[in-house]
Amino acid sequence: MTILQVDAPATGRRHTRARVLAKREVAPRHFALTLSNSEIASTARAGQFVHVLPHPREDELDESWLFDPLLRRAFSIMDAQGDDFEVLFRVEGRGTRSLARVEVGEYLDILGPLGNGFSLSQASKSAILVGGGVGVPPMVFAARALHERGIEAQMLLGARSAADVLCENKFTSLQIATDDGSRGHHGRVGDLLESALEQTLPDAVFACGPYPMLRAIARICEARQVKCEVSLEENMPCGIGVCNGCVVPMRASEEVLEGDDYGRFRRICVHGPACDARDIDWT
Amino acid sequence: MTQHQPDLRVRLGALELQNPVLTASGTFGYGEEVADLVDISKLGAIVCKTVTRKPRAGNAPPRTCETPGGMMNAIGLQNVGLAAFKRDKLPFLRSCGTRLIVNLAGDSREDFASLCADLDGEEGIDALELNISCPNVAHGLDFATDPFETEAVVKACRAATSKPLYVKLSPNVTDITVIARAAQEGGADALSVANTFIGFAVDTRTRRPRLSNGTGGLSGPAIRPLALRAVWRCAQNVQIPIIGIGGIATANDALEFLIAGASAVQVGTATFIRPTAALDVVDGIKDYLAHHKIDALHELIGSIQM
Repeated sequence: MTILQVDAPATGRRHTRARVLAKREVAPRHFALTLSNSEIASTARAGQFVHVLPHPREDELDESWLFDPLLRRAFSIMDAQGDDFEVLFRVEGRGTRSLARVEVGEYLDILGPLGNGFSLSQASKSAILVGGGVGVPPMVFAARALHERGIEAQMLLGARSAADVLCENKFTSLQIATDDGSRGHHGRVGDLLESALEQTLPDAVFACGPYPMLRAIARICEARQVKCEVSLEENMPCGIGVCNGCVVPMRASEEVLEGDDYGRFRRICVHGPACDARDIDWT
Repeated sequence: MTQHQPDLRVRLGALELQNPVLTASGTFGYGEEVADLVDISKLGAIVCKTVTRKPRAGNAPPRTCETPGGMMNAIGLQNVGLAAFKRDKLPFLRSCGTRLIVNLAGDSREDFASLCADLDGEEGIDALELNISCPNVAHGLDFATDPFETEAVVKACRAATSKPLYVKLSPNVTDITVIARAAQEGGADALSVANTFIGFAVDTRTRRPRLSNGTGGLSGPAIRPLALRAVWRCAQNVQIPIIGIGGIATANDALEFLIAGASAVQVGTATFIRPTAALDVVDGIKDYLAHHKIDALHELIGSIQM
């Protein structure tokens, strides 16, 4: 396990604005935004996130404060190329509803890129990507980054139903599982992973999605002794390591209890969101 | 453009600050977490995350949730503990180029006093803030809800250190002025008014509390008028300076507290949304003074017209 001795912030993060270049409703209640900010786009890594104020700004200099909804919203970066990057979110509550009303040409107030991305170098020849629901978008970035390293990752995509399948045209090797069987395998994306691992073991598995899915993926990988990184989610007020809100319990190894002063809870905004699945206490 | 810069200096007991804007404990970590985003040297002071004698793991997640115009937290004083604080965190905090106020919490009168004694000899710590009002740990509010206990713990700490001593009060009391007077009687140099308001939120889907701790402390703009009233009342009832805390996000918010009687303010939850919030408050206060042709901030403090 990796103990981060110094609480140093992620390099390259900044508080900035990004112009909305495009907005697409890619599935019911799901919006993809293309945002222009070369500093974020050029430093972002697969698995990192941006922390977005849920109040669109009409122009770049608008400094007004709106206090409700109060906090930023964290979104994985779906991809970053050239001067632009993309995020994809599902309208769930007041913050995402407000963000879904943003118009092309308006600006969003953004902190980013934040957190630790996936350790893609763990895959030297092969990798499997697993994404569920709105956990699929960061896998688009991971698949492209791996492609640039000469690795064609196998993507396993989970969704509630055929209508909720996201980003399918972004993957070259794709298998789909849906909860209701309306598309692909009728069942869990974990079933697809079990079958895939029976065929051949990849160097690493990278996963993002709802907690029960990640726990299942972590257990499958541990049983097969395959390296697995998961990207976690938790209520995250600050995103920059100061509030101690977004913690997840880590396994109480001797190293954790004695080597790290923070004890068994780690802030995923700075120690994650991508974490070694073996370090997490999944109980 | 102004001909001369307004004087923003304030005194909190024996300590003089370059301006009245501080960070609230638990919202600015140990400084190093945000040093790349914030010019810390421009703050009036850093108030760092509460230090306890032993490291604390804190409460299980979920620890926070958003509420209208605010948020609730039940972090549970997660911190590195005194030894690691001195070894790993103090060197950076000392190098920040501004005043350092160390917030500390004990679980007994003796523990509070011995923490003060342990920090008394540390160079670069300009003042101590006693957290007698954490709502998210067992017995966290035992002191701040009882005037006798408040006076006794402050007195014990007063005897243990010669550093300026600030006492962070809880708003979760019937009459905060009773506690404020008790802290003054015990020897406090200033009062931090106040900590979070205890709240409760329910997930109607699961019928469970939205925080694992059950209750949590409410902060953010939602509490500002409540906190402001507490500050205003304390300022009328004690002679020592008040540090106003509660939902301050902009310079105008801070000015409300200063006019109502606070000598300084702490910016907390707003930092989560905008890391430079406290610095923006400093700039905005400066602009206000210049615009209203007020030479020195102390002319504004407590200038409320009723």
